[in-house]
Amino acid sequence: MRNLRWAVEEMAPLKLKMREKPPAPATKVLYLVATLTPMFLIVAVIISMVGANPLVAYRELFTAPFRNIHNVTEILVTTTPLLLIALGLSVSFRCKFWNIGAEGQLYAGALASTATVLLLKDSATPSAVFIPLLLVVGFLGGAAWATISAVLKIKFQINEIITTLLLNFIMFYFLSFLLYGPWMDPISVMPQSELFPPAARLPKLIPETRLHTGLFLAVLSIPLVYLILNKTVLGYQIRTTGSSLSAARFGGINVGKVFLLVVIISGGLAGLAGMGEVSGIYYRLRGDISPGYGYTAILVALLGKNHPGWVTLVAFLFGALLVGGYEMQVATGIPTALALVTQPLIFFGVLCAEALSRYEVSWRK
Amino acid sequence: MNHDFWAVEKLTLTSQTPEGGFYAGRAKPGETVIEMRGITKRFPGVVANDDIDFDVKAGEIHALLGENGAGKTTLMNIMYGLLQPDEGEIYVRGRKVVMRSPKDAIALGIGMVHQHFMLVEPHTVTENVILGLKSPKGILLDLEGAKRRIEELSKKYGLKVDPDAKIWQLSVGERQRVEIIKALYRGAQILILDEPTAVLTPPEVKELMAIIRRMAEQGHAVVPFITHKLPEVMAISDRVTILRRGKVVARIRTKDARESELARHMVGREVLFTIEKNPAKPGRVVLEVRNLKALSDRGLPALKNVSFSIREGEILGVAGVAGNGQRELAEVIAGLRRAVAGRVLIDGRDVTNLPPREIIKQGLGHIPEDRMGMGLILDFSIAENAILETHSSPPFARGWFIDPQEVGKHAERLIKEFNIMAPSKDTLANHLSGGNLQRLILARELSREPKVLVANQPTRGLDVGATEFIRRKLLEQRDRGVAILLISEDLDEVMSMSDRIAVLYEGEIMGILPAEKAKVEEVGMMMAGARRQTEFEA
Amino acid sequence: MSLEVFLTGLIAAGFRIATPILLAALGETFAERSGILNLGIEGMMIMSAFTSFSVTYDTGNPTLGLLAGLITGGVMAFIHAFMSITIKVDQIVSGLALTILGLALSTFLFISYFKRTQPAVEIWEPTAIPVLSQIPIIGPALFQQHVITYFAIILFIVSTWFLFGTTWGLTIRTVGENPAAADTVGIRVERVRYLCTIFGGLMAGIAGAYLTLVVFNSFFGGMTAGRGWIAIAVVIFGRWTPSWVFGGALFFGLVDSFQLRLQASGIPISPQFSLMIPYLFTLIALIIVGRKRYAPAALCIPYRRGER
Repeated sequence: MRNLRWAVEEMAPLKLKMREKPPAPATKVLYLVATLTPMFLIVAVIISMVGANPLVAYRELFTAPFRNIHNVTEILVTTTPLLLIALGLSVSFRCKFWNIGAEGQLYAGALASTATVLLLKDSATPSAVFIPLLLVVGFLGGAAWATISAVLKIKFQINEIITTLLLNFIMFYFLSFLLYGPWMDPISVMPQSELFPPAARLPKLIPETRLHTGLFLAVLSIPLVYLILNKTVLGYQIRTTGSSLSAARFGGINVGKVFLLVVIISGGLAGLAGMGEVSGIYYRLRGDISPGYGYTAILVALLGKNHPGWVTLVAFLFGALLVGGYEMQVATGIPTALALVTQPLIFFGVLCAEALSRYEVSWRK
Repeated sequence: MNHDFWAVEKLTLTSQTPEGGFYAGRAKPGETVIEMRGITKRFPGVVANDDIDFDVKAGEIHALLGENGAGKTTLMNIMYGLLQPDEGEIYVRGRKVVMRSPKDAIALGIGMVHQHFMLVEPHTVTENVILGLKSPKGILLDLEGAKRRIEELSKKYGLKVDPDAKIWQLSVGERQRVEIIKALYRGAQILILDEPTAVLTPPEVKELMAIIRRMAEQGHAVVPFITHKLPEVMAISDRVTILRRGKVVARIRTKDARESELARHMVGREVLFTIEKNPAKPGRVVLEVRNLKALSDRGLPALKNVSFSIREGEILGVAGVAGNGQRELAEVIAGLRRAVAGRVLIDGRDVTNLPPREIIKQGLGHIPEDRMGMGLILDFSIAENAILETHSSPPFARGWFIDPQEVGKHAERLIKEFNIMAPSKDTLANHLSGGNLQRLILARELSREPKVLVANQPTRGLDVGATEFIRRKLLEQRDRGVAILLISEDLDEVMSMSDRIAVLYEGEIMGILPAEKAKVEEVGMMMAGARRQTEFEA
Repeated sequence: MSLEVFLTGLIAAGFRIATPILLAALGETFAERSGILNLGIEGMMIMSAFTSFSVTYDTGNPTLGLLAGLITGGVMAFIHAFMSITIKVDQIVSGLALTILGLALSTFLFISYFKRTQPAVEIWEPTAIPVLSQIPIIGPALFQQHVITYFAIILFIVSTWFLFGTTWGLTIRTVGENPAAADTVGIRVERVRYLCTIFGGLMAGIAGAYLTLVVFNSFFGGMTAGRGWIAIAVVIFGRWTPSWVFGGALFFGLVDSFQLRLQASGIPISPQFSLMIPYLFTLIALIIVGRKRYAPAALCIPYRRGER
């Protein structure tokens, strides 16, 4: 009997040993291939389970986004909010403030901008004033909504993961309340606001596409976030707080202030993304302006290791995947949601590859 | 499955009765109970144990002596099944065994008392003792039965402890007794004690020695692992094996040996037991602490009415057993913990409960107890670590930006001045050895030219070289006029470094005495809670 | 509407709504007590909701559906355990990714299998307990519940006993407080953590199955609506003890039940506003009692032997 118990206890499947030094880059690539292949095989199995040809689906998913100029502009359209949010989140994650409420903050920004538009729609405000105003209001809206969690963490030590997430739901219902109630467009029966006047719309970059000038904001944020994180006093404080809270306190850093600033940056960028969606694409507030950008951006920031350069790359690739998902649906009838399934699977694959390069893994003998 | 492993397994089938351990019958006094032959263990870059032979007999106390880094911990972990040797064999009562985990070691009658006690603070003594054991009531806890057995053991060996107390309520000495009971409860015949006296008051050390002797009389084999504390080794052990750089350098019968001989073997050269110290030239009072009160992490009183002052060019040593308020004292002074009552004054200015930043500006340097968690950021480079407190002021900050050139120059200066062994200023802190980490902290704190320096356990766990370096630097600072608060569990360090000695017991100062008049016995009594009768000064 | 009818309905629905939260939160309590934070609960719940729904839909057998939900939760928890225990990925990261995966995959599979239809399964009827269900107010409120609700209540009592009265409970609590201490007496820390995490997944699985089979008798994307997160909040609120967790889950259930009654009562309140109330109350409850101090000391910290 005891023998049996011992045998069972020895069964922990894998044994890990810390590597003395990281493996060569080529080996890392090999690991990445080794861990991502099974993930794509899993997706292929899922695709064939729903009765489609995985090869066709994959072809659409990966090549369709680059098939023509229009599709490429669509990639940029989806990359814009993803990048804005993910850059903000990488600032937040860098100091281990787990803001996972970007979705709500995006809507908060959109909501604040819409409120401003509704307030000023008959005032004949010129575009040169209106747009900057909306940008500021959008940023502040997202930042203010995110600040609630920061305050709850600083004042009451409540875990920000829970609060940011609960706030997402509260925002969602509040938004529905507005769209079904006071803000409902009188000339349509849909839960959406009135159309924005032209002065409140972000100019298009390329006519006949959905690509708008919000892209500039996203691109501008890349070096900005890089500078903040790596070259400034605030960046030093953010990184210190993230690496060791007690060392940050020891060093005289006001940790509460750092959390607050970080949340303002990440919430604000998410709010800007929301403003971009309402003012650059839909020209009105709707309940579905984001297909979960706030959640996808979490994966983007983490995959990009909170480094602006990598985050940009991942945001673009994930944007392409979303566009590919749409094209795939048109071509094969497989729902676009497949793209959203692929993203976390890729994420898990990369995590495993990283583990492989940190440890030597062997089966327990 | 390994053959030897199953051999052990068969033996253990008949054992596991808590009283008897693995022994079918008790070992006769003098019988070799554990023998290690040719143990070699390599880690990346070092041979931690190099062909070590070691044995213990029943009823014998066989001390293992060596500096930090000599390979003691590795050998001990091998003896307790936490590590497996690369080469070599272990025999328990003449039978070859392979231990793959502590569970195997326990089954073989080997018990260990860790230096950092392996106790669960929110749980009771009884819960800690029976942890991981089968209960006679199946899966139900048998707390009552266990309590009775603990009381028996505690009577038999003179280990006083309340089975119902929660661990966090206990003193360090009591916690150690719980650990010993834990081992005995599991039927340990061989007891490994890791630095058993490091954290005890002198009276507690005496009591522990009596306990160890009683265990030896009862036929247990006891193996204390000791770093310094040579007098204790002399007093307690029958034999001593000395390790240096992973090798056995001497095996000595204690009664044939002298203390200086042990020290020479251990360090590899003659050691000076006293520190050269210039006479103190104290100036005006720089740090003043008045009626300070503070709470522990659990919200219990940790400091009760603590008052003292330190002058320029003076070291005030705080002696005391860990957990008597030392950490809280350092943290309150540095602004990292709230003072509930009382005042802290630096240079006459009230800094009580100011943000740490302000206190740093007032000229406080702080070497924290928790080097790796609080003192440094392990995934930062040396250069980044070197500006932890000064990153937001010139020359390191220019407006909102940090000037990398200035930061780099500063780091290079510190590396040179303090002999920090590192490839470059960009080396990550977690690639540095313990001694170099502490040099880096010291370098950073001193580079700010503090008026007051709080040094909490500045040499704990360091090798002789680093320890000497740090002590020399501290004395140098004293001579330059810095007021130093030296908090240390190492009584020798406090006695030899300080100009005045304060003894902290349960959050109260038992008395402050001038170093030249202080006697170890008296300080020891105060560490155990005896109040000093006459105060030398306020 | 008489007070008696109102109270009966309120309490009955309160328990009904609290059931999945209670199950998931009890499971999470075990996982966190062993030191593993599982933020994948929401994803596990919704995936289980989907599998149990589709299996029940295909076979017409809700027991098989429940089993499918159970297995789904267990498998997903195993993934989390592997990521966070074996290869020591940040637990927060792994859990979040698992939730995102669960939400996306369940939606995708549902749309793929059922196209745009609104399929439904037969509702799994509650079981009245003889005699007890005849007691006025309490009878219909407490003893005409679904079997899974009874199971959840029994589970809460058993968990209390298990965590604080058995050697295994002591082991789990130790692993979450001081894994090194557990290791030195021969407890296999990783194994305990695996088992606790998987148990948490199984309970989240039942919770998800309950949602489709008993509450909604259908599936739709995002149907868990944050219940997994609320379960995690309830664990914090419940100070990692089953009895408090029970209280927390019931509190949420009653608030939600009250809110539903408010909507039906004809009082002019926007339904969206009303739906917000449970989340708002969870937040407020956390502000009042949700301090970190009670958390297991080793929560979220991977265990490596001999780490400095």
